[in-house]
Amino acid sequence: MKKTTAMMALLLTIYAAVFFYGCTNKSSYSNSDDAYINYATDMQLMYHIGGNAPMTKSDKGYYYIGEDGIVIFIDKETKKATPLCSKPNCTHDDPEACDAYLNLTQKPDTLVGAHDSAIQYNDGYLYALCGEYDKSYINYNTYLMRMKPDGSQRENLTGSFNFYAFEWFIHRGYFYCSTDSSVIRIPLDSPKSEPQILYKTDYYIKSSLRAVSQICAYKNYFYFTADERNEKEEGPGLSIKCINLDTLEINDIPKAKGYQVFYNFFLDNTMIASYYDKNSDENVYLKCDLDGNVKESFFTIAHKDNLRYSTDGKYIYGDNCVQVTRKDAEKQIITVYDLNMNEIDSYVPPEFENIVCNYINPQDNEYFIFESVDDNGERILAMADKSQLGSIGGETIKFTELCKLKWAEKKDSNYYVEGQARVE
Amino acid sequence: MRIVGSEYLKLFSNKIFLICIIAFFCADSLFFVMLQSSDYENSAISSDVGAYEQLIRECNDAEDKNAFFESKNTEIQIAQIILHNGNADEYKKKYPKLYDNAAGLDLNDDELFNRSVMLSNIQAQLSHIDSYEEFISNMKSRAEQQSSFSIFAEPDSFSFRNIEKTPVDFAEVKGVKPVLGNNKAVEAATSYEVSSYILLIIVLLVNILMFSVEREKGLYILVRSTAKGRLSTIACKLLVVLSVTAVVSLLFYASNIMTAGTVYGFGDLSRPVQSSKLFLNCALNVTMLEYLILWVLGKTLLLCSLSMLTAFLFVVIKSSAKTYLILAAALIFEFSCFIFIDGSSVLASLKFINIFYLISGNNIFGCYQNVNIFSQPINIITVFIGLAIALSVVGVLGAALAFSRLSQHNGKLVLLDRLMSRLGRFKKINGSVRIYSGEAYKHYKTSFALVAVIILVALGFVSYNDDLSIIFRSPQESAYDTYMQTLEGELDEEKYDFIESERAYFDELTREAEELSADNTISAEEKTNRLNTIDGILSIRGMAFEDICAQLEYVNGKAELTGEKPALVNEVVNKRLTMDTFREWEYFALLLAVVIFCTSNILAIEYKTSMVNLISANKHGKARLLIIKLLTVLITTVISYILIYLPYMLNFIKTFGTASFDLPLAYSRDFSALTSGITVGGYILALGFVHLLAAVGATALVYLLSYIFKNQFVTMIISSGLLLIPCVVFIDNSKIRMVSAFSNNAQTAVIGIITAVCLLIIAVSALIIFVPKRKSTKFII
Repeated sequence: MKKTTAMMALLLTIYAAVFFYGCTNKSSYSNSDDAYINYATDMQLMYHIGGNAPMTKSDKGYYYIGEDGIVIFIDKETKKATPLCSKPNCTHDDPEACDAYLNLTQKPDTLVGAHDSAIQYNDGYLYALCGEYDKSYINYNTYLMRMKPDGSQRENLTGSFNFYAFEWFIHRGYFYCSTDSSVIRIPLDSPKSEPQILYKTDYYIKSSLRAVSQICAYKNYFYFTADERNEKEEGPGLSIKCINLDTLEINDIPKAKGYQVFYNFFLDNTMIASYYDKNSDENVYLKCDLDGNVKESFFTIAHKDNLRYSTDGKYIYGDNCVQVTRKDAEKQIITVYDLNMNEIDSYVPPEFENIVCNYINPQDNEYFIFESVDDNGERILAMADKSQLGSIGGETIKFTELCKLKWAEKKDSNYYVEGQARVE
Repeated sequence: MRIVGSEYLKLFSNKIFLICIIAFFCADSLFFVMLQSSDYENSAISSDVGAYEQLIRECNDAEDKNAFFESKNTEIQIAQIILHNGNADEYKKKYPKLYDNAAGLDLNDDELFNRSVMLSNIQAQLSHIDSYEEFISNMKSRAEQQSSFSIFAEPDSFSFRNIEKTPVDFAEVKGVKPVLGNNKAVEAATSYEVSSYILLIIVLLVNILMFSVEREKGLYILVRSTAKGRLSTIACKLLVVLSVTAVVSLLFYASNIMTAGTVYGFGDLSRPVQSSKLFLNCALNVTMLEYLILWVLGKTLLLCSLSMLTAFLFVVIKSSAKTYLILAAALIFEFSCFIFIDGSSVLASLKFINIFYLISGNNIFGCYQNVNIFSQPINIITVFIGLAIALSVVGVLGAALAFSRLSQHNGKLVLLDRLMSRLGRFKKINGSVRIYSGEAYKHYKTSFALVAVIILVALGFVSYNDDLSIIFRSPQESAYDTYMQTLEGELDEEKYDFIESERAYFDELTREAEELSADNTISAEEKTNRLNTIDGILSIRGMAFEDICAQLEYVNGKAELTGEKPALVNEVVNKRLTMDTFREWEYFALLLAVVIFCTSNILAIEYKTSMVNLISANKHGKARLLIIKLLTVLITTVISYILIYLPYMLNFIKTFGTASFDLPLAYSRDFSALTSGITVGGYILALGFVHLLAAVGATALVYLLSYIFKNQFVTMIISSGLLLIPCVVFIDNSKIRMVSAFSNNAQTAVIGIITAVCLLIIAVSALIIFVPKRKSTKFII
């Protein structure tokens, strides 16, 4: 009897612990709107993997950072946008005075894609990689900045790095980034500690993005493309690698039929990867486990019709941007599929200066946020409700204008000074 | 009342005080005029204030402002063509009236440029005036919109309260209509900050003279013997400090305003202050004149409250060195918070509740700002008033209590004394005590020079172990550095062969890329892959090699001019060694601070302990002692110099080697204007020599001041005013560096002038100190 009572008491305690754990703030983040990822603590795949959207999502809305360094907050409830500055007497056009301005780290022009994930929300804070020249304009110092969701209480979390950080994100309590030759991480609860090197290659070009790129994380796995070659083209070359974050073991993603497999997106504990079959001139899509081992074939598509695929966990999106760039297609069309690749709709994204729309990442399963232009030709931020998917029928997606995109002139006097310093 | 009169008399009968006030006043005015002339817009307006005001009047009268600016700009354009005998017939036909006006303008190129600058200024003002009404009237709707966002809508948050408070505060200026006019005098006078820094020095000086000097003379013993003497004395002293601070502050600020008014003209001071864009965020409904009065009173009030707090510190801390250290640490802390903390930082309150923030520019009344104090938005004016009252109350009450209750004798460092006496047990005195040993003991122990040296040793250790390795900004830069591992140094056959082989390699690569593009026998994918590989090599190594070739071309040209053998310098590394203007400033400012701290007490200590009478009694002893004292401080200066500069140099050599040291500096494109054949190593030595000479000159000057003032604290403050304040003023002006002298090919003149000035200071110091006087040494203070 005593044993039964004790067991009952223990079970009640465990139940209560589990139940009340659900009442803490943290649980309000977990899987609140989809089971795809936990957007509050994990790397936000839907804003990063498909492209270079400088966006992030919090529990209250979205943050977008423009080229001018002004952070714009988009409220999910009101569907309105404002610079992240709580001063009614600020016109947000002066980076020196506006609280919404972030001094984002400047990357050389050659490093296309290095601005990925320019801002990220994680566990109640916003993070960004900021940087500035020293007083002599010789050394450039980069550091991880953290602030509250309302833009207040900014702090230099890590101190200046003694390496150049290219791509970065926050995932499950760690800051991950790629340098020219390595993948490193720093725990957020000890941000000034020595970075932990997860991967390092000897075949690389100093200060070049090539050796480590396309970093992303899903669940407890970290993926990246390693192009191990030095200036003399020596080295093992291209491979796709995966780090198991539990064991820190590094493995190459296995090849399929002798072809290098590339990861495209993740879905329900599965990696959707693909390779190009030279013989049949087709792109073959596969379902793999998270270590990259092929489980089954997903679908196959002729190489010329291949799209850029991504998912928000609810739909799969195919973007014909490559065809538009190659001038094989006249306009950009996004085809929407269900998770079994049955086409359910297609739409045209808002016009963006007559070029391919920049940001057609899947984003979350509620809204799309685009860059577009208004009737006066001014660049704007626009928002489209995903509830219309299924009824668009190839037309332009209906969207609402949020706010102008360019608020201030970017503060980049550092480059000016550097240019002036040398008298030719 | 009689005590107050006596205190005034004591202060104003002090020649040093009067000389300092006059010298600082002149320096302040000189800086003001210099800074004004360095701004091209200010220069343009001051060159012809009448024309500027005439343009403003015409603009105010014009119905169509755009047409006015268009016609005026065209007029200037035509005048420029006529001036250079160009063909302006087209304009003559199209704009006959404007042509006649332009032909009537008797202006040269500079004057015409000034006119266009004036027009731009007026146009910017008009744009501000046009948008001001909308800015104010939309304040409430902006606030409502902002508070509708969930992130700002937390009722207990600073953001929400700030959004609610701001429109209420700005409601006062809702009806304000800015008027176009001449704002320059108000803008120039209120933006000028040097006066405030100088006044801080004067506040310290007044306090030293009122408290520290008397304590060191031992006069407080007399005061303590009277029944109510202490409280009355401190009250009178505080009154004198307060009134002198207020009068001197008013004098300095009023003088700046008058100077600005004379240079630029006051314009109509009855216009709202918001007429100037500088005051867009001013939430006070005041005219320009009222703002000027408020601005002067605000600054004066702040300085008065600071003077009260400083008085308290001087009364409560009895050691001059300790007071100097505490004040210096507090000022450095405040200055660092002001400069380095971002307005949105978690530490933003430290930036705003800060002496330097409040004393700078128009931060109190001219720029609306709420400070986050426990999530409450407190307006900066309230913060300022609260802080001023708090500092004054703490200062007055603290000084009064401390003065009446505490002994005003110098305290001693019990721990250090005990330590030294314990150490002394192990030291045996053999024969007579050598003068140097005694002086060194006094200098390093009593004057805390040892503390400074120990701190420098620690800094030197950090500097030696600092990571100097380069974080390359681009792959091209790192590829350039890789090339330089092979190519740096004099160019010999081997290096030329290497360059030729690389050139051939890249030519071959380019040819291969062209052939590949035209090749239809390989698949598109393979073609793309191979072309991408070639592009990758060309865009990184190729670009770096192009840079090397450009440098080679430059070097060959330079070699012909200088007659030196051509050589390549690694510019990426060289820049870190030669172009680091902030490090140059930082090291030299630190060296000066150490020199001031260590040297100020060298003679003052003898006067303080009245030992000077013993020295004077000795026929040859005085000169010898003075030489030994000078030697002591010079040794400290040299040690400090070595500890500051050497660790960095050793670290640099450890990291990058000495490959570039024997190469001509002019071969670096950063020094393209340099015509001398000086090597990088020679440049380092020249820089080292100049800095050492300047440090020795500074030591001689401080030594002289110590001899003249006979008081450690006065010497510290005056030397800081003469040596450190200019350093702070020029912190951001990288042109005022030795690097700039070399990069502008003015090194001979600059080194010559610096050497001459230093030698002059040393000679004058030697003359004043060592040449025997007829009169016996007397106390000036």
